[in-house]
Amino acid sequence: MVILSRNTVYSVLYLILSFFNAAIIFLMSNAEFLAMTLIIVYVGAVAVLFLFVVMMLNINVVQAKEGMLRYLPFGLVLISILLIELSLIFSDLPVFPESNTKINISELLNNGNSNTKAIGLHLYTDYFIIFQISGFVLLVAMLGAIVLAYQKNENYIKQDVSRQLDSDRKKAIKLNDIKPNR
Amino acid sequence: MIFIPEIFLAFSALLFILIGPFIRKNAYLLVTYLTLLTVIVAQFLVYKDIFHFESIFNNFFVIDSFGSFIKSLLLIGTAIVLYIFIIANKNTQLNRIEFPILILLSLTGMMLMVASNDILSLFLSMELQSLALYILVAFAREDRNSSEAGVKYFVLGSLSTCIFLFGSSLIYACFGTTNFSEISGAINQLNEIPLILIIGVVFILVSLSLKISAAPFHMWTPDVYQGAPTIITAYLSVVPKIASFAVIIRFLVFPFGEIIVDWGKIILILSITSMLVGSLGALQQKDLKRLFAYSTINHIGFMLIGLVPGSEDGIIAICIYLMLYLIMNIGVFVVILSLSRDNISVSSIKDLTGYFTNNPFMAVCMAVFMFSMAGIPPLSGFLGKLIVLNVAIDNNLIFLAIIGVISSVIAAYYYLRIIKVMFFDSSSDELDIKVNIETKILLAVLSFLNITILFYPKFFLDLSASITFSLFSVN
Amino acid sequence: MLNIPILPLLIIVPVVGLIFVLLSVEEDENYIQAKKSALWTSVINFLISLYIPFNFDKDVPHFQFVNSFSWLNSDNLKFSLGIDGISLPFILLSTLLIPLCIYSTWNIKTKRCKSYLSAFLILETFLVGAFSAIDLFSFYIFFESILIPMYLIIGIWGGDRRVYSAYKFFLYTFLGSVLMLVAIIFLYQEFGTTDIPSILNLSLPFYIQIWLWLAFFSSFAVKIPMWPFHTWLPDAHVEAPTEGSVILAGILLKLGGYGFIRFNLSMLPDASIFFTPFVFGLSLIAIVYTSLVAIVQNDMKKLIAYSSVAHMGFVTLGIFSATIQGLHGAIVQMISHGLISAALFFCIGSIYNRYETKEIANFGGLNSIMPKLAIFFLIFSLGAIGFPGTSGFIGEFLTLLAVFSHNTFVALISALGVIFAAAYMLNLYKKVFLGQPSKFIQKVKLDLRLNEMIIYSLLVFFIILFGIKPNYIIDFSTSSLDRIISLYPISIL
Repeated sequence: MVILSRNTVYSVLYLILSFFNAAIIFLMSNAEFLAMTLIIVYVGAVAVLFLFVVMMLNINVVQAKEGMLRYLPFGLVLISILLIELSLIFSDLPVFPESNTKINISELLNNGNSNTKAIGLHLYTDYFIIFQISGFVLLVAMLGAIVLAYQKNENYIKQDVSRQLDSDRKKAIKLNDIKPNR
Repeated sequence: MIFIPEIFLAFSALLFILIGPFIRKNAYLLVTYLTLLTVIVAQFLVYKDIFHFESIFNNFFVIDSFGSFIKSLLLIGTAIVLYIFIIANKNTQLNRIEFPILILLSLTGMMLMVASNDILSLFLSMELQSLALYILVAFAREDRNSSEAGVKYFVLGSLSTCIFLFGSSLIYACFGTTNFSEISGAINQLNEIPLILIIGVVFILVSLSLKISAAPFHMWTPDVYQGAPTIITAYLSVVPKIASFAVIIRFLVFPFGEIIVDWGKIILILSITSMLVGSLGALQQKDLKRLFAYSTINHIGFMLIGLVPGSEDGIIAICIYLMLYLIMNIGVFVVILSLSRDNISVSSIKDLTGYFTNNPFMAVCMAVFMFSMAGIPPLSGFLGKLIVLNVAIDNNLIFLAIIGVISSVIAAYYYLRIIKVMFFDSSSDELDIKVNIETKILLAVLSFLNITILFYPKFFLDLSASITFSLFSVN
Repeated sequence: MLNIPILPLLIIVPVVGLIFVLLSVEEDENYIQAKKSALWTSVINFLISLYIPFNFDKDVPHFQFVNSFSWLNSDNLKFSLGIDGISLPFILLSTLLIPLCIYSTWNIKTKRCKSYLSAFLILETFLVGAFSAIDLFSFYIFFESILIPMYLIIGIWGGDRRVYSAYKFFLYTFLGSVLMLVAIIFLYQEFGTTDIPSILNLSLPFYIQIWLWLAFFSSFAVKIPMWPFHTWLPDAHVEAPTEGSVILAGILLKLGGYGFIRFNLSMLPDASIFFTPFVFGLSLIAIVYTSLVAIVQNDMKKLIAYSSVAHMGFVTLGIFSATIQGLHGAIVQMISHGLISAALFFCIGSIYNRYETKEIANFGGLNSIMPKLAIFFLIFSLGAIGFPGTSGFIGEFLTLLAVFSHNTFVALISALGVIFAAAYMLNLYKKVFLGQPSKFIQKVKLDLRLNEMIIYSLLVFFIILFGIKPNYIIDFSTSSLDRIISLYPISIL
């Protein structure tokens, strides 16, 4: 629905819906904190930002949608291939290996840790380096945004002291010798 | 502390971001010099522990001689690129402090990539390097081509990321772990390889092929190479390729060495298509950068031959080929970078017309690189081809070897075309003659290496053998 | 025997000379200094190479003057040099022709003279290397390397269609030889060695021999060149500068024949027998067809080029007759063709330098203006025909003798080639030198210069020397050839 709806604002709202669904999946696997974070960060910040951008840009939707239909058959073929593959995979796998995950959330909870604490424990000990690298990835993203978007604004008026001091009568006034007869 | 080079690089990058804005004049130049210095220091840090083996950070990363060797190749490549940037860059849009910093960050990402021992860390470090590269490609903001290339690279790179994630989720579903060592252990216990695992590996392989631009996942390469600023193209065509190739080697050989039957065929197909696309696609090209994009694809195809049998010899061959490729390709791009007419950079083949007449030294160097890339003895490119073909024939892949040599004959045609344009044709519209002395020295060194490496290959063979040993001893 | 590393010396001296050439000061347009250093280098190299025949043990069939250096990782892959009776004449031929080529540029203004001379010196290094390599890989390296200077010589200093010819030359030979590379690697993988002497002692299964034979054949047949693969040769010859044609005809073609003897015949005897009718067929076509083509050529160089293909047809006949006379004949024929075709190309070069054309139709009665050249040209033409007393005769005679013992029919047809040769060479001579002096030739009146006289006299000396005493060549190679033939299974033809 995100890409199908004609109105971009609706699209963003559908996006929020899908974020909610993802959050529910997290909830179902006992990860309340993650679910909440997802809602807060994505729905609260990212999606709202999207909404602003969409409203400000005021894209002509109909024009942007032109030519969508042309790629539809191709897309359908791709989708069907992927679906068939997926169904093949999962039919091949009768029992989903259940308890082989490294981190067992319920086990952690039983030890008396809260959900949030468990995540923190893992994130800052075992997965510390991963956390750091993610930080660097974000830093690069920020740098990139600055590099690509920041522009020295040269449109405003300001005093250039050296130029003012540099000017004198000879430069300011230009004498043209005009022959009256011509 | 063993993990020093990467940490050192990352912190220097942070430091440079901090000090950059406080320098008044030519900040970018100073930062570039500092970056170059950092890279050289990191090189020594890598050398210090080159034969060390340790897994660190909760088994997320591993330090071994294979990784250290690739890291030092990456550092050498980056150092040369930075040096070229200092001495030969003409594109003033690149003269900003962010340029060397981004290179440094992408280098950090690549070094982490090479050292990764876990799909999670691999993924993040790959993102780090590719994000930096996307920005670098689009760095020349006012140049429409550059922005276009940046967007193309970004879109396809994101696609590759998605595919990678999908693949890794499948592998996780299979084993419940993302760690290479644990996966390797788990595979050994399986009596039957589940289909889901193979599909996961294939997905990751596709994503990595996009990174090394092996055909049929090469589509972005010519456009991005052409659009990006030349110095970035030089960087792009060498350093990330080496890193991604090393990742492919580690990923396939270490945890999935057992299922070589499955991925061997895919690599075989990738190799054949890359060689053919690389040699046939370049025939009609008019732009040097585009042409060398195809030439890269061709070389990648050759290197993949070495991976098909998944044996130690093959990896040794690839290591040597990577080294030679670095020397040849950097040289070519130094020449391309110094081509200009009336101080405007040019890069079409036509512009090289009569280059021998007005700049014999550069033309001869370029000719050396061309013959070397075509794999004609006594130049170094021959050594790479020889060793790779040797591996292929050793493993009864004679048809692959024959496709390889035929593609190299086709490829020789377009390398010869460049030589023809430079040496045989006389030009009416001459290029700028002035090339600064540092560039000349660098070129002289590179071509000297290209000429002489064939006389002492033993050193390189022993080196690569001792390096790849670590990769297999773990298994 | 003194223990001088003579072969490495032969290979290194031109490189040293090259440095001198590149460092020489351009004092005038003629680059006398550069030419002098190049000439001295090559003459010194020739004198060094003369050391070999006087210290060569004629009765030993194995390789002599062996020097090896470790190259790749194992002991089996060495960079080894050595010569036996087969390669000895070719090395001497190369070291003789290079100084002559350099000397012939003496009074001629060549553009980029320094690069030109350096290309020839590099070429000498590679040629000597290729003839003296006794390791498959080192042979291949030298064999392939030759392409680079030759490509540049044709491409930079050649005629109007030089680019096309240079391409054709390069890609034809490259395609042929990469297949050989695959074969070499295969041999290495199968037997763990690329040392030619040790491979000679192996006996390979027949079906492998067939494939290897074809791979080697593809490389050498292009090089020598045999009939369907010869199309690069006329183009390359016509467009190459005089000296380039001399080297091309004089030495490069011989690499093909040398390769046939060294690899196809000695290493893969079973397959050679199997393919003998095939080679004979191609050679006959080459002899008859290219001779006929040569008759109708109107470009002098092209005529000589086609005649080269025909002469090489004799060589392949001789080689694959696999008898002692045949092989002797082939070697003598190659050496004599090296001298004679080189001489003819020099002559055409002399004419071209004066008149700037090679069209036969423009000439006539040249003997009135250049009588000295006319005499020399006559001698060389007679040599090319195979006139008794010249070395050409010995080669063709021995070859025909060997082929007769094989198959009378083949011999009869190939004898036709000799007649055709007489037809086109004498026709050429008549049209260019005899008859009414044409108006065209009146514009330049200059007979041979001193350097040309010296070159031609030397060549005439050698041609007649080998014509009268072919033993100088034959004696050296007898024992090596005997060894090959003793290994050769009894002929089935």
